[in-house]
Amino acid sequence: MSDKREKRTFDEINEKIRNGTVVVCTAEEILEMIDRDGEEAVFEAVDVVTTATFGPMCSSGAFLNFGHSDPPTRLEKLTLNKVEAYGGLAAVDTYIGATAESEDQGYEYGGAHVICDLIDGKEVVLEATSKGTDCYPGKKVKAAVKLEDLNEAYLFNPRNAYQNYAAATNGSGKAVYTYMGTLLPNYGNVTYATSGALSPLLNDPELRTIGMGTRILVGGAVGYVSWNGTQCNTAPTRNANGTPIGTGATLAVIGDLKQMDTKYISPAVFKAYGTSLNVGIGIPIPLLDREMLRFCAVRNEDIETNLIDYSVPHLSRPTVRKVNYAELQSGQIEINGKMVKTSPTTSMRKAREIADILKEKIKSGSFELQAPVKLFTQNQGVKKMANAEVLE
Amino acid sequence: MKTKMYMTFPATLTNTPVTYELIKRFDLKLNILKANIDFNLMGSLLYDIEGPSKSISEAIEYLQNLGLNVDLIPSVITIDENRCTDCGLCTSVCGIKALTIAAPDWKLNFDPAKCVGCNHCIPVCPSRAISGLVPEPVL
Repeated sequence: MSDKREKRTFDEINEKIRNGTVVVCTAEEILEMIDRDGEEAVFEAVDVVTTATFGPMCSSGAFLNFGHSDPPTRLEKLTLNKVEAYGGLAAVDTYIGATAESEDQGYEYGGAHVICDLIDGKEVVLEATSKGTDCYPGKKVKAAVKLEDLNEAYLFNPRNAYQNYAAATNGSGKAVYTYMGTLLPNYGNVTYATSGALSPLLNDPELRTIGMGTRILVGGAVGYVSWNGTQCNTAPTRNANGTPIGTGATLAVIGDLKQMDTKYISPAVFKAYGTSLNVGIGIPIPLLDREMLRFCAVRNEDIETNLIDYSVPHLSRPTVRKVNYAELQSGQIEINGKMVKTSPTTSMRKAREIADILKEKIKSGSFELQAPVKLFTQNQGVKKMANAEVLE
Repeated sequence: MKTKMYMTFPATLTNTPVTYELIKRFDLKLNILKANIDFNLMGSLLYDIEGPSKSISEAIEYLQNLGLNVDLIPSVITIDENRCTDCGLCTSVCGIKALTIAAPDWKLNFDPAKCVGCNHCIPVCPSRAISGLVPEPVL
């Protein structure tokens, strides 16, 4: 048995991608394969597992460069379709955040809508003012632009793909409006995020293969992990399987708007909360060793999260109970002796579609794996705001 | 047959007890889902209505002769499938379980017969994919 495979490398996998012999399956399919053939045989056979998610990710936005007007004008204060964008960069660069709200439509039309309208090839109206300088004499400019008119347009999302996320409910007597949806009074419903066993960072819980430079799918385009995400918690409470309970690691991701498709990135509006952006992300996980296979073998019943009461207006909200994703995905869970309906905020249908697309791209040779150029620091927690006094 | 019926009353007819007539004369099983009178005394009523097709047709003729606008509507909401992402959030506020999503396919399922037209799903849908066919009361 000495010729039994113990490891495989990124290079070996990419060689197999190039010569068309790579074996890829999704993080859901691998569970069926393990049930049928056993872990040993699956490790021998499978090179790559594809994972994916599709859900609202507020910490998202895009860098845009418009090129110069003549005479040149520095975009100091600017809006795109009446949505404010950032004017603190060089003359014609901006960053538009997904959650920025429009002056005339409020959160029904926000930065997320501008980004997706651009992707759809629609015309977007830029309006900007400036104090006027010798280099940039223009004081007021208006332009109708399309994505194809821009020099660069790339999504740069500071915090996406949460490893795990708390489920939400409401123990108060009034409805609560949140980014987890409308939570009905008296534990009237439960909502939950993540695609569970298909979710990228739940299949690589210690971020052994996903790091800076990892090639991924974002918004239907080939993109990259550019950094760890903000509030990346690599010191979460873990269960016996090593899976984080509640929030964990996050990723900052980058991708070219010009290659994206609004089937895999779309605006989201939450009543009495605001605008967000549904982002579709697909990440390949190489089965470098048996431990990686064990990680990818994670099942919904092994993934736990905290059910949080969102009616409590404090940073640390009480945990109602611990719950696993098999329970959440069953459609109902028990709270205080009563069965309560559970609903997702993540589209499993879209997540599966993305995992399948990534699988096909790898199999067809059009997507090679990129080994991370840097792995993210482990055992690092998240700090609260320092010396803060909430004034109102 | 069982369907939904939506009618609007001109101001002059808002005070007419048509529900009584529909039950008494046409032996229809009615469930009032929505009723409203606006500032101009224009009234509207949404029913779940059940009975033989013939009785329903006769009832419609009776109401139209009175001067009411009557529509049979199979569904009170429409879902734009191009916008819907199958996220499932609308199911969280659908107490009657007309909107459901579940394994294995995780595609949104809508049963118009179950829907009571509460319209709570409309503002909850993050993709703004759901629209109501019956206008909400304007206050």
